[in-house]
Amino acid sequence: MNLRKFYVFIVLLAPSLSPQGWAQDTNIRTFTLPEVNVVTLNVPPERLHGQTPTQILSSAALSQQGSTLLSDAARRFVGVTMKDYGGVGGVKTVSARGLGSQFSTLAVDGVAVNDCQNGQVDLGRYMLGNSSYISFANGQEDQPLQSARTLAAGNILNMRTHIPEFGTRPFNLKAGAEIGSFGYFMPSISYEQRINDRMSASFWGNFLKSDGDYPFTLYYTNSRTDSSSRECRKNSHMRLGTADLNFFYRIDGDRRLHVKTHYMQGFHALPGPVVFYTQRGSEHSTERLFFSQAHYRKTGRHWDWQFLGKYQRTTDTYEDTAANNATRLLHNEYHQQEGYLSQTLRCHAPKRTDGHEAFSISLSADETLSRLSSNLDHDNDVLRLSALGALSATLQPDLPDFLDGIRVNANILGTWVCDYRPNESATPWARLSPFAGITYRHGQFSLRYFFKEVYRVPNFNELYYYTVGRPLRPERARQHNIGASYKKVFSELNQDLVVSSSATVDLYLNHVDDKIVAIPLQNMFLWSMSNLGKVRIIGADITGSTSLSGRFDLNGLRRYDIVLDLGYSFQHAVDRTDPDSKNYGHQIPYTPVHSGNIAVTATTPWVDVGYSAMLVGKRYHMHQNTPSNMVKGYVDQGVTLSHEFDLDKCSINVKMQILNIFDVQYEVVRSYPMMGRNYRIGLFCTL
Amino acid sequence: MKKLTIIFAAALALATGCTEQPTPDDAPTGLQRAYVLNEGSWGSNNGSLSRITPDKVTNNWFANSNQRGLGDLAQDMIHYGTTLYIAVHGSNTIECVDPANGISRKQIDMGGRGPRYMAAHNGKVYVSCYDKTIVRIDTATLAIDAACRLSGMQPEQLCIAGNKIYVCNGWQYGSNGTVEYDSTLSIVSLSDFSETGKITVGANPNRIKAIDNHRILVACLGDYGDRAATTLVIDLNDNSQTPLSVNATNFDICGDSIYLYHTTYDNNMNTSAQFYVVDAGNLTATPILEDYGNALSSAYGINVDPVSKDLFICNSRWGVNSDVYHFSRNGKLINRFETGIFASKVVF
Repeated sequence: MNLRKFYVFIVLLAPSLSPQGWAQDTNIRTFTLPEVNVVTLNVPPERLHGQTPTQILSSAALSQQGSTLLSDAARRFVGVTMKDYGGVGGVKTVSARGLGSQFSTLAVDGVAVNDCQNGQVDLGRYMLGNSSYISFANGQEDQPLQSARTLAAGNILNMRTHIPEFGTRPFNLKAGAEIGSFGYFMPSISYEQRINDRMSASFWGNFLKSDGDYPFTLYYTNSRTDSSSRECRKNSHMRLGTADLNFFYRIDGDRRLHVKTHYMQGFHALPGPVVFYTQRGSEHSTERLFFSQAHYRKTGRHWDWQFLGKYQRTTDTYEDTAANNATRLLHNEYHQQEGYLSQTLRCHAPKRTDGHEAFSISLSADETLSRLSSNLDHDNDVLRLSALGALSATLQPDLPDFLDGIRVNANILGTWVCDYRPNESATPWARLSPFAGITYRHGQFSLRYFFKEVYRVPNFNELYYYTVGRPLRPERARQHNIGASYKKVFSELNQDLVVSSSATVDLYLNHVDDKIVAIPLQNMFLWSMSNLGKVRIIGADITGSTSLSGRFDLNGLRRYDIVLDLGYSFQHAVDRTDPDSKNYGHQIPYTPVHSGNIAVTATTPWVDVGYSAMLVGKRYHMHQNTPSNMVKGYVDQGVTLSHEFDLDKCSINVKMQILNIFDVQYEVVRSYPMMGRNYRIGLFCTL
Repeated sequence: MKKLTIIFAAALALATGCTEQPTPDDAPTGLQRAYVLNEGSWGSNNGSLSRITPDKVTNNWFANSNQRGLGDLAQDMIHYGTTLYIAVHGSNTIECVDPANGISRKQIDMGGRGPRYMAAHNGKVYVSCYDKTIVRIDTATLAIDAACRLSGMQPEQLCIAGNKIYVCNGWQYGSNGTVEYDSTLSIVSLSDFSETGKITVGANPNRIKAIDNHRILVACLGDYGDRAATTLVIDLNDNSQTPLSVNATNFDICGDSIYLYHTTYDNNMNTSAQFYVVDAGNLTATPILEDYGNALSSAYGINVDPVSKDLFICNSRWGVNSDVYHFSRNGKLINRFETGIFASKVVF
């Protein structure tokens, strides 16, 4: 490995990447190729010294730690709070830093995934298998050429597709399966074909099945010494199939095109909350998601241009086969369609030798047309037209001495959204929201500050379905973040041992105003929605990472790499709505004050070991912080052992995992028990 | 305040007829013991029972006495004979609780029926259930001894008058998930325990009580759209229906007095509650507790102690513990107790 390669590796990947990647994993070659002076579609955002706190997990590292669903990855990010309804199939959504989950945007290759009905995406329905890395940024990503929609996010989770790399063969084939406890079965196949020097295509198919009939202990009071019984989760089975087709075209050194088509179909039995003394098992949902998106990017000496286009279609059904009506059946069906276009034009000063630009200015324009229809009255159909525009500017002047590392970044985002419904007058919302940030970098030390204001236009459920319709205002979140990061490489210690460490500390202050609060009105099927809530969040995110790399023998064939990642998050997220109410100053529901994680990956010639632990403090499931409303904290630990060897022309990877090693009985969401200790074994063959 | 209380006392005395002589404001309350049912929130298994003695509240009384919780959505509670019956809707159980110590004598498994409300008569407890039945429980054996099928939508409250059960047929989910509202009461004969007829009332009848042997009061909550809420007095002799001048969201009856409240919300979803006492004879409504319209804006239960005539209002806000306000018969606030989630009923 030459020095440049090493540098790229350290800066971009070292803290989070599986050390396995360094030596042989093909996933990371995308970044480490020294000739990457041409435009790439998937440059990871600057992790350590960026404008906004950004975390990256490579798929190799995630796989090493037993992650298969996007939600497994998302919960590893510091500051992220996961809501998980348990089991493989339970809905999994994220929120960060005390902002509601609808402020979190999921993007696939930079194209935001939109759900106009719920405003949040179930991360349990996206698989990691075909991704190269997952990034999470608070505020927004520190990247050039961003669509207005990604700039509109409160925080952004980005999943990047794996870009094929070819060796001597013009194709790559990988197939295998994992089996595990409680009917877990996940076969997958990946095929990548080189078409010519500039074009390649990939297909990835994945199937996931789980019976979900795992045991758990049910406690009949908040005390662990009172009555309890051993139960088994019922009606919790699921199936999920995913197919992903990609076409990559490197038109020339300046222009790239990536077209992606994705289909997902799932069936989920809905076990519902565990209710004392009774069992219920008559509900299930099915879902279908199709999207096709194109991403074109041209970069030049002064001008860059990006185009995104997407068509998405989803069908969600919910059925209850024991409804108290004449047919005994309740069948709900929702159809969403979305067309999306985005253009970004960027003008910048030529890159300096250190890769920075003295200034840049860019303009993004996004248009979205979304439609929701259902098997309810057509009066409930909604058509939403959204137009977003963003003007961004970056300034990094040449300054003398140590002032040189100052970079200023600002943008203003305009949001215009209008809903059209049968027999109703159109209701437009229009807002301007700013972002401003400044960073100072000196070598491997940097300081950052940003301010961002975000608006969230109410989604269709909040506005139109089973609610008392009142004019709702958009929710508003203001974020302030101040942070520092530092990195040190101790390569001079010894040629046989390279140690590098990095750490980040970010403090933030967030305010949410006009928070949309749903309150059941007399009964559970009619909710009143109002802009009643105010939340103030003061928090800190701290990350630390150390990697060791060395060799056992002189010729470097027997290497070892150890990476240790630590994260701690403090969130004091309190209600500030009404000083007379009982929950004023109380921690908002499902938001732990303390949480953290530990991840260790060790690669040796004999076995690769991955260990991860999630530590989550106590939370409250209702607004008032009383002992009866408390949901206990937990520590969930998992370990993965894997080994790769060559057999004939094949490279075989065997993997064994123990998840929740200590069989901890815990709940993330009240009355939704999580899986206890469970096992998985996997065998994958790469040709 | 003093003046108001006097007027108030007078009004109450006049309206209720329960008071022979106005009691001085500082008279000790007649309350010995009361039980508060806290419904809990859906899916959280946090229905609970609180016990109130004159100056003290004991929360989670059931769980502390039995080392297990009531379960999910404690919908209704009645005190009949020497037993407190608690219908736990989500958990599909009826708990038969000893009022002396809070210990459950028996947990009756309602087998997925979804018990809602109860009424008792002649040694039997009648339970309306969402499987569109009324289930009869024998109080001697504490076991189900019969069930009667109903022809309406999911039944809500029920009452007994003149050897008949009157049950509200409320609402149901239609096959596409829209909410459908019924507008009838079913009449069930106690003698052969079967549905014998129906009475058409307003949309979404939900709460019902007998005023006396030939009159019942029913609150129809409306469909939250075009069909408005209405509260009707039904004369069972001639089946005539007389609407009250004020709509009840919830009510209780003590002798000839109907205590009710009506909750409203404005465009910003700020709620408020108005309280009235209605003379069951001439149906004139007199506002009461006018100073408490805001404090009790989330009123979720109203009950009168039949002995002391003291008034108990449950004020239950979403996501926080409820407050039970204890007023003297003169409308003077005696005490306020913080109980559990969604306190909905006080029994004595």
